[in-house]
Amino acid sequence: MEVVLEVKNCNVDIQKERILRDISFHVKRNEIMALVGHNGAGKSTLMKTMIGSREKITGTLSIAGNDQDAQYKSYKRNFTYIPEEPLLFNELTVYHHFKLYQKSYSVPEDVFESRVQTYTQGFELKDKLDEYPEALSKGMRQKVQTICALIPDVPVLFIDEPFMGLDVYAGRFLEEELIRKKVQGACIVLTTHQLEKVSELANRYVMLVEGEVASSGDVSEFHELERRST
Amino acid sequence: MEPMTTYSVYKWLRKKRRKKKFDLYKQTYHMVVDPVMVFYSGLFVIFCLFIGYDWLQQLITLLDGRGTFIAPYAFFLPLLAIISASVASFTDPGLRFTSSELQLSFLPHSRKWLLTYLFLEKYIVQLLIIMVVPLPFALVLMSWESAVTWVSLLLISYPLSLWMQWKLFSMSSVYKMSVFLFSAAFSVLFFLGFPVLLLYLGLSVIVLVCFIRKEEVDWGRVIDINDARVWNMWLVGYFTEVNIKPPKRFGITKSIWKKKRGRHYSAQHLYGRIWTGYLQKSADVVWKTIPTVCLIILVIPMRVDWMLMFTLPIAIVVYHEVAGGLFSDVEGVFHPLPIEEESCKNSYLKWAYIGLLPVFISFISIQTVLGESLVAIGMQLIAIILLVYVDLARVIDERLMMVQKENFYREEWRRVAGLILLGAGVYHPLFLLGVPLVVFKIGRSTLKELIS
Repeated sequence: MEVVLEVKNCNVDIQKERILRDISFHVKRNEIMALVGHNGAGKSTLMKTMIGSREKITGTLSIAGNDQDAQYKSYKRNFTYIPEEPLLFNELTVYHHFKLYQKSYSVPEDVFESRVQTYTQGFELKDKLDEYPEALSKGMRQKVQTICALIPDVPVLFIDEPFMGLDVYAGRFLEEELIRKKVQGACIVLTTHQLEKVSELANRYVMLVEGEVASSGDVSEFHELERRST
Repeated sequence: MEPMTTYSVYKWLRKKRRKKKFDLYKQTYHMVVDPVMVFYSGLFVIFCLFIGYDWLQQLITLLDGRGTFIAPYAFFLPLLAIISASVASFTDPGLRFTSSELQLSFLPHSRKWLLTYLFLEKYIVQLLIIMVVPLPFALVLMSWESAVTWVSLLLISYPLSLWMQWKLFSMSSVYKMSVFLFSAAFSVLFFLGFPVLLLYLGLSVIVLVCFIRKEEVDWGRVIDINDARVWNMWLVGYFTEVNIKPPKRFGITKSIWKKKRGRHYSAQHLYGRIWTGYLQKSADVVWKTIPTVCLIILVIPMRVDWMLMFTLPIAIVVYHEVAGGLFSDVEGVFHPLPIEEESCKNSYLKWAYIGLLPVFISFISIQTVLGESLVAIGMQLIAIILLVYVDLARVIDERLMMVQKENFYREEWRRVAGLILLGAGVYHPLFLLGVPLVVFKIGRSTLKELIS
């Protein structure tokens, strides 16, 4: 299978302290990869580095052959991201957010309309299209952010704690949608503390311990996180 | 064990808040204040107090009884109270009910009582202020009967204003505006000599309508604004450069603007909306830059006229650099979204060009004051617009390329040449002929010339 996301020897410092050490892994097409680890293991930092919002000290990152440093614009066009905390624009309504993602990723109009229809129905947001973010509950904002990331067809989908804040139905809908995306050829990188989701959804896992890859491999080899202080 | 009363809990909470604020001030003090400087500043303040005392003694004899003419205006105070309450209610609830008070109200403590304590506390503080400042002044300025009338009406007007502000805050803009218009109309009638009693009757009707109307308090909005107001300590914010602001959705214009909820927007329109929000957030920088740039153009040439040759290019460079700097945060604004470059740049440039209007006005004003001919001003203005139009677009273009990690070639010398010609054009308009030549060359060179 073709490698889509490649992370090679990445080191990241925050305030002169090394947070990520020599991180290397890759994710192939039709694959869901789970980043697991304790709080403070470096999952979110790695996620932020992969989406380009945190600078790395050394190493390379590429998506579908587009290097993050050399082809930054193409790199950014090749992924969408669902953060743990929704990052919505106060100036835009729910529908405007969808429209912004459509324009940013050049999604054809007919595809866009049908996806908005499907996702707003699936996430029960149909009557909220003209609302501004502050009028929505946290869960609803999370749903809006999720739909935004699902609208474009991109090779990589980064998700930080995908099921946080979603109700049971929305969580199930998202699960189905992620599997559908995977079957269609996308690769998905997700972080989660819900370990049963890792075995249900993911094909492979990468476990981070204190900023380093402690183990990685097929999800069937993954059992559980060991206690940090034993 | 006896449960704590609402009052004792309220008092305890306020005490803790004061302590935390005091600690924050103390930390800021230790961070920025030099003890030697404080010592000499203290001496200076004591010295100023002596001067002030001497000055006050002279002033008292001078002012004694001269304020009699303002005595009848005491009756205007209740009208003023309602006007100020209606205006303030657009952005501020008046009573500092924060998230901490809200948390308290979830415990067995009444929200109504907490509000009452807040109201009383604010009133008592105001009472003390009135006793210390306006009362002595009123006694010096006018007869004691008039002074008593002023102070009594002040004491009635303040709580009235506070209560109205609180009530109006959760009401619709239409209500606020209506109260403002009615009280403004009453004020006009007051100055036209209409009987005060009738005006007070009208005012009572307004107050009564607000009293009867049972509007639910918009607690979320109250708390967001109050939290920001309570914890945004000016001195700490000034030194640490961290300012806490209420969510901008609570401005006057915001609520009106947000009602436009069309769905069919172009990318540029959506980007425009996001930039508008971002510029509102960066209002501090915007409102410091524009007046500064205007002052650079206005103040120095007012004293030495030929300095305009230098201040004009400097002002333009400052404006462009600040505009470019604000734009550089594009990644922070759009997060990991890929940017549709043209829409993103054009929507930002629209605002950047609008921000230059006061600069143009300042330039025209100073040249008019300095007696420059209309033809010369016209030529200079065309040259400025031309240079600004191209150079600002180039600055923004470069910043975007930097953010996008692209390589580009910067022809700084052409920019410098354009600015020198512009400055020289202030000395003699003939030099301005060189501006289009340089500017159009810049225009061509902005096509991304990659080094590698």
